[in-house]
Amino acid sequence: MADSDSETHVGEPPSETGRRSLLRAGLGIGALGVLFGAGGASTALATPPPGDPEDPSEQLAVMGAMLAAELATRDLYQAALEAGADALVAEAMALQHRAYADAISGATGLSANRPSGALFDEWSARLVTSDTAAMASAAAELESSLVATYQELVGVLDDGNWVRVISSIAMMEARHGVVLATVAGDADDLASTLDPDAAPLNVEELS
Amino acid sequence: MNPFTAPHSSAPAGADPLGEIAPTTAVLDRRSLLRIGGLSLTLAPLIAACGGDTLGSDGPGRIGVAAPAPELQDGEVNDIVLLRTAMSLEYTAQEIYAAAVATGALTPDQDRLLAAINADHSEHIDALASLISTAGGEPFRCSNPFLVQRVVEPTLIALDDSADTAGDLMRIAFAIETLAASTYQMFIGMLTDPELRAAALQIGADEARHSAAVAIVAADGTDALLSPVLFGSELEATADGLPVLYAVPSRFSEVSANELVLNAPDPDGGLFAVTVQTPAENSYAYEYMQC
Repeated sequence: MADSDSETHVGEPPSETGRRSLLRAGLGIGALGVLFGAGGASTALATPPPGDPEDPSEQLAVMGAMLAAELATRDLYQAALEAGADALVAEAMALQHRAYADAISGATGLSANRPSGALFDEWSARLVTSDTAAMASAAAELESSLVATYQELVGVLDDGNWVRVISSIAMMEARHGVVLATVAGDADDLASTLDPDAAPLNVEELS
Repeated sequence: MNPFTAPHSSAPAGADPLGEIAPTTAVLDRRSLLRIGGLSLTLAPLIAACGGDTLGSDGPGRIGVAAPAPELQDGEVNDIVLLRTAMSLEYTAQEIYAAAVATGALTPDQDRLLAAINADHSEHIDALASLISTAGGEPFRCSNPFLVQRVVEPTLIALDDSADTAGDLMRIAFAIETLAASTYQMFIGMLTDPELRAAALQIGADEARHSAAVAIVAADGTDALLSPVLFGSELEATADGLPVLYAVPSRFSEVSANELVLNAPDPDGGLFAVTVQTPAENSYAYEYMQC
């Protein structure tokens, strides 16, 4: 599960941003240089890519990127459902992520109508399949990457309501990862299931 | 002669003992008493204001001569206190799992899972201790006293009469891990240092995964993956009246209290139940507290 991170995640975070290394450092903030680094393609949002994490407009752009990520994740599960994957799991996950997009939209005032095409394209090859176990295995990675991304965002967002919203989402997505690992038949590997070494998504490329 | 009054009486024998005070009694008639009472009421506030401590404490009276109750210290709720409280939950979980393993009732899968979770808690303790020290505080290296008294001790006592010890141990583990996840989630919104929020979410996500894994192993199958509430259906209890544990119990993660119900009798003939709440002012590990 862990060795495919560099191949499948949007963006290419450095290896030292793994969960355990961050925990050892006592902080989850080490990878912010990647998240808010200079350069990168322009986004579809009105604001430019994040450069200064304390700039409110750039914080809104980050939330917009996560809104786009949640919509794309919903679309991935919906496509998997239509491809013939287990209906119960795929439908439930699609509903969950739709709700998360709505929550971010409600908190920020951004429209929930622009899924991240980059994220969908990056993950669809593995996640959109009738093979439920394969779908679930890929989806478990994606859920863990979403959690890792939110983890970094709570360290830079100023708006208390936004922080509470994404905390609630991230905690539930952590649970999703365990469920999907179980469906995939990977749950016997407790180390990977309980401590997934997922890299965060590159927010600059999500919109 | 009355043997009890004679030695103290100065009245001559045969005299009326009330005769000497009779004139005074006549002065204190109803009108006089009213005047004196009114004067007392008028002067009382003035005397109280001028008299300093001469009237003694005006606090509520106490029965008996016990030592004065110690004054509670004022505890400031800051980042260090929140992290110390989180640390106390980690130790509480470890204490419970030590008791769970000691029962010998766990299945091999359950035992393996709790061992892995316990290892994570040790890792969390080290990380929290480092964060607390960096923030200038003293790590709190013991269980949460409030939680132990109100939840752990009565629960472990009830476990003695359990009809399903292994199942109840998993219900306890689920409650504790869910509590831990909810606590970190709540603290993320309270921590003032943004970097600490990220660390709290990282650990809290671990606890959420623990909770989900416990639900799955407790059910010994995939029936416990997704709560019916995700599809708009009602929750159902087991045939024994116990709540079903779900890995994904709701749409969003919540910070509200959970009810832990065991397959063990309570004194009233029902099932033992205790409310497990996220920490508050009465259960924080304040900086003045020592193990």
